[in-house]
Amino acid sequence: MKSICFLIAAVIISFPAFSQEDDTTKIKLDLLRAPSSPAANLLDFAVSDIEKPSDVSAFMASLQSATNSNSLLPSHYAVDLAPFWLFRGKGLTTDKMDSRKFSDVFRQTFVFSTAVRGSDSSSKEYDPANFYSSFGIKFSIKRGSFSKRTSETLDTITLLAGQIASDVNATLKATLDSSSEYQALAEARRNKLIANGGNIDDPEVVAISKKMTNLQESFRTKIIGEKELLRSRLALLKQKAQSFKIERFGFFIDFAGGVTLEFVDKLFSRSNVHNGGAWLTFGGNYESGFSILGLARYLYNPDKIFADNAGVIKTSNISTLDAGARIIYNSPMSRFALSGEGIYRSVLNKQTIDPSWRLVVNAEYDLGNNQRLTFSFGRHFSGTITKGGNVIAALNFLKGFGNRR
Amino acid sequence: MAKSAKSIAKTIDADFEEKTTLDTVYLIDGSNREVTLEIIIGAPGQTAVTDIILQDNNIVKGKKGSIKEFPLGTNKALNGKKIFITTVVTDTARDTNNTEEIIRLRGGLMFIEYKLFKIVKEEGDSAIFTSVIEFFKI
Repeated sequence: MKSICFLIAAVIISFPAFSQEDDTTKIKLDLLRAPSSPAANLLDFAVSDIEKPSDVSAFMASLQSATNSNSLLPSHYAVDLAPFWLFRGKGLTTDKMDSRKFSDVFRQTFVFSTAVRGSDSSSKEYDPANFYSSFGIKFSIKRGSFSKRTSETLDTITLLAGQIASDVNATLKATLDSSSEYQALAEARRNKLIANGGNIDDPEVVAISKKMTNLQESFRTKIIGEKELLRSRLALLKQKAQSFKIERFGFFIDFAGGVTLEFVDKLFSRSNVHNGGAWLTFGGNYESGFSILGLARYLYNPDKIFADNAGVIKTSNISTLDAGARIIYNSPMSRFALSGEGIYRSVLNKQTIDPSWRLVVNAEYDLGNNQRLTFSFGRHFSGTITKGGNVIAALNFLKGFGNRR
Repeated sequence: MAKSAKSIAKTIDADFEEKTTLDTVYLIDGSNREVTLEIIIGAPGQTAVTDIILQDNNIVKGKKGSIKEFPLGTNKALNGKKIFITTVVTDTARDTNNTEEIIRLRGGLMFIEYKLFKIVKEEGDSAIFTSVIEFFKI
């Protein structure tokens, strides 16, 4: 009997299921998001084909492999370079990673990407007689701050490390100052330097310094080993450091842009712009549950025109501008979630297709046990009004009544 | 008198050797030129705190991260004094266990850079770097 109920419920709800097949499932706001690598995206590289070296050695190895040990120009190669991280970002500790100064944010997030496609390309979209090269950049103009939890953990780590540093430094100084062995070595080093005219590379001076270093190290090890308070602080510090995780909340603005050059007949003197794009992503997410996301995208000669699903426009030299925004409220303490989404799409230099826009508001209530009630209401690109509910939620809801019987 | 820092730069190299302790002499003259100290912490994403005692004065206490170049005193005033530097570098970076401290001294007879380095065993471990530098005039 229960199985029959399930079957009937499934058949009934399958009808409204078709109403979900509108543009909300086909057109995603995420389509407008900036690609992770602008240059590689413009030349249709798969994300897995993009090299992302994290240090200079890895970059040189990647380049050597792509150029067949520096004997050929690479013909199918895409790479993302983050200069600050590539050169190991000397001095970048966690306290600076929360900096909101533009200069810090820019240098920590700047990525240069480049890609090349040559004659061995298997893609039909690229003329094998020509050579394609793209360049792109990506950086943050503004980024969110550390979350409350991240800041609190970091403050605890800093406090504990500060207490340990202060304790070790003061105790070590007192120990060295009162050590006759250490003071005798220091005196011997000074005398030797006076005798040799200040040559710190003198083997005897180096040997004395080595002895003093070893003595200092043994004192330090003893201090840490004997002080219970130091050991317990180090243990707590480790525990806090292991749980440390960077989470960011707040307003952010990211920019990405790139251009592809087509070298006709592989001549560097005969080039033209093949395609290009610029992406601006902005918004914010807040611990209260509010999230705001805004996206704007300009493309020159895109593979697919967002405003032209039917493929009406065939000519080249097309510029498109698409934009979208989404607001979400999903309080961690509440079962209710509300979101609104708008998308605008247009072709800038052709009159064949008019600009159009879509606006949808979604409301959702979590009934628990994987049951949700949802409702959406909005305006389609064509101007018609649409509304709908969540089919899966309805199925779970009916199942609940069946169990009670 | 003052030579180009780069032309006489000297590095106590410890790039690939673990070293958490330093005990050395920094040669100075009797001038009124300022001697400066700079500390750079690595690897990116680590957390560090430094404590510095110059002779008997705790001149830096609980300083987070790298320390920009700052004056310690004139050559004349520093003669015979010692500086004690203790830095705790905690491994909070998820992509590396390397910890590093670079100490740079300028304004004496020559620019000098010391490198201390340790790979901590486990995620969240700390490296404690201690350095004692004596300012000495011949």
